[in-house]
Amino acid sequence: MSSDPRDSRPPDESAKRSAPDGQLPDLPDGVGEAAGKMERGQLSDEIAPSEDPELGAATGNLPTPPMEWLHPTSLIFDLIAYVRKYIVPSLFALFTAASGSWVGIGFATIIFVPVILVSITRYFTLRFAIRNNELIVTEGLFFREARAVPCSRIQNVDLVQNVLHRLIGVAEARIETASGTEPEAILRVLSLAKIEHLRKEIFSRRERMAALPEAGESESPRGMPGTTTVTEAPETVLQIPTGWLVRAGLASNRGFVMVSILLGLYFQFDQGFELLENWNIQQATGWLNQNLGVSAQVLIGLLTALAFLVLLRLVGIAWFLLRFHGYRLVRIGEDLRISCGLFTKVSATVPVRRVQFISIHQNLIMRWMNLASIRIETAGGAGRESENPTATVARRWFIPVLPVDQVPAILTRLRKDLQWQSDNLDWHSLAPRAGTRLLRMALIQSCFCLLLVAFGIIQALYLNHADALFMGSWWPFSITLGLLIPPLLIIHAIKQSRSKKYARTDYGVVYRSGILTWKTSVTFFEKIQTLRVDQSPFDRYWKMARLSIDTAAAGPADHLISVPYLDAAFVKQEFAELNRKTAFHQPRFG
Amino acid sequence: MNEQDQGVFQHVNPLHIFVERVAGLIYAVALGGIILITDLVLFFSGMTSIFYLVMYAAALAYAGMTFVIKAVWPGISYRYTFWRLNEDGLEIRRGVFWRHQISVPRARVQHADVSQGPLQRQYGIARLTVHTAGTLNASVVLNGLTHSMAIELRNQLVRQGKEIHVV
Repeated sequence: MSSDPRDSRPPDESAKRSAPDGQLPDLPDGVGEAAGKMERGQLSDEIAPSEDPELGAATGNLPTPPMEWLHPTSLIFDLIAYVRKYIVPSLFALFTAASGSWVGIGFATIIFVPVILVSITRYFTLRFAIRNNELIVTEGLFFREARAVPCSRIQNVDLVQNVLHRLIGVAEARIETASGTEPEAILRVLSLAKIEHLRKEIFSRRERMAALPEAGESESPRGMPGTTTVTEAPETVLQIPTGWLVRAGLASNRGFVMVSILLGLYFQFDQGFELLENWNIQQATGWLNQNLGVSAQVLIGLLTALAFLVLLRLVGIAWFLLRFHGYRLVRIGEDLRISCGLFTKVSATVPVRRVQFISIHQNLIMRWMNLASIRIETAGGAGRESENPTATVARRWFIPVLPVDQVPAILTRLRKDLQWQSDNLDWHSLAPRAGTRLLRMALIQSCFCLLLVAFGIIQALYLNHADALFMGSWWPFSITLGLLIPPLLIIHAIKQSRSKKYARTDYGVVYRSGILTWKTSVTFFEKIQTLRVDQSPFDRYWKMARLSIDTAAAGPADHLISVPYLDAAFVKQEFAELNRKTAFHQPRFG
Repeated sequence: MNEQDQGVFQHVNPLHIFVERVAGLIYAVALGGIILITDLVLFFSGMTSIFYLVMYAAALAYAGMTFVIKAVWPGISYRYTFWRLNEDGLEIRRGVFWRHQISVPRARVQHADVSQGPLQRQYGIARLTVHTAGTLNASVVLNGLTHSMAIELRNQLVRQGKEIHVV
């Protein structure tokens, strides 16, 4: 990416500017050699950060602000973060150590001691400051690392605040640039006042720099001076009431996911829970068998299943409430800021112009309740989202739930040209013969299923004579499966041919697909990177083609604009038209 | 590139067929040699039953088939490969059975490379790789241009995309 700040970060300069590590004066001279040669030349005296005016005088700049420390509780939070990152080995180590065996204690030592050392080193070596309109972060004991991020490149300062953070009044700050997946710097943790101060400093500098012509943004042909509008008053775009979250929880399969994770953990540590398991389940089943009749047992079984289902839904609701309580989407100038969370509060910012792709998802239950969720994609937003809570909220759960009839209004707030009237779009269905083609494919697959049935019947007939030939008696399964699957295949084929729809609008391209979960995605001409048409030999026979549109984002929205089984003549025409439109709509700065 | 060539679909350089063919045949001959030697070693170490003989023949037949395909395929593939550069951007068509048509608008080109293998260098053939900020087709390859043409194409594509931030 041309706007990657890593390109513009001169490592030697920033190293010069970084203050030496004043807190560890008894560092042997040779230790820092590997990374610190330059700064040793320049600043041979060990200057404590508090005596920093001297440094400012030495470098000949305006009086520079002192390099700042993280909040002292960082030590604890750093440790917690590491333990959470490696939760499984950590828990294992704790359990085994708690059982008192020497191996366990050794294992725990191996895991925890380095982590504690790393945390301590990090706390005592990490310094940051804003100098020369750059955020400078230095870190490291043996291998000093200094990064300088120009304030004009900083997209936002995101916050993550969990319960413990909130009790102490601190938060984790993430400095994000356009570079993509990982935050440019994570400051774990800072006091809220300090973060507010940092934010103000960065944004005021960003504005000042945006006014200068050399900042680069103003060169783009239809440059949107996004950085100059920070001072605009925030307007609330959306607030999600608790009722919606409850309904979203009911509709989602989150509970299922959570319970399976819990079950996974349970089996991982089943030794630790052995006692519980023996006592609970075996005793309970034993008691049931002895004291109850068959019908009562069936009833209990059904009730258990029902209770489990209710539990799943409750877990889903709980997850949504925890995650998105107090959700607020605010528009500040050209930035969208999301803040939400019951215990762990997250605040994330998305610059509007970086939105590549908007995706509206509706699963079956959400459709019953007239709800939808909106995901967005920004450039480079794919990848390790699970480790990055702010990115996850900002993209995958951009708007976790809202009533369908409010979708158009929200989309128009995102982009003024996005007049969303799903019904009024010029929808193109798949090629007329796509249904026939899919159905024929389903029938061919069904033939294989019927083979399965035939095998089952043969086995059933000759079971007594030729046990060895078919290895056991699985014929009831094969017959049921063989009879069940073909109708499903056929229904799937029919639904699939009807569910996919494509439309071109004034601003971009819309694609809808999905049978149970409907996904409708929009991308914009200036965000399209490449266009592609593919035709297999079968496609040629059926006079069809696949049209794919590539953007800089593919990930959290879980939907690609790649439309199969379109009419070949239509695709040819559309390809030319899209080509023209894409070339005409020059990309804007982002 | 002549001005009148702008916007017209054209083949890559015919020398590309020859280069590909030579490279493919070198590969096929090497493969055949290795198979032949293995066959002989196994045969004279006493594996002479009819099963092994069939296996030897099959392996040799595979090498022979590779030889034929490598000799014929570049010519066929050449006939189905086209490219054009017009004011919108670069468009490539390729594929004999599975046909592909890719278009990269000029303003979306992040950067472009021209590379040459040793054989290609002998005959002045090059491969142009165009990179975009996309994810699925993040790089688009056009192999078989003359080196000077590849350089010129690269310059044309990059020059225009340069001042614009693409994402």
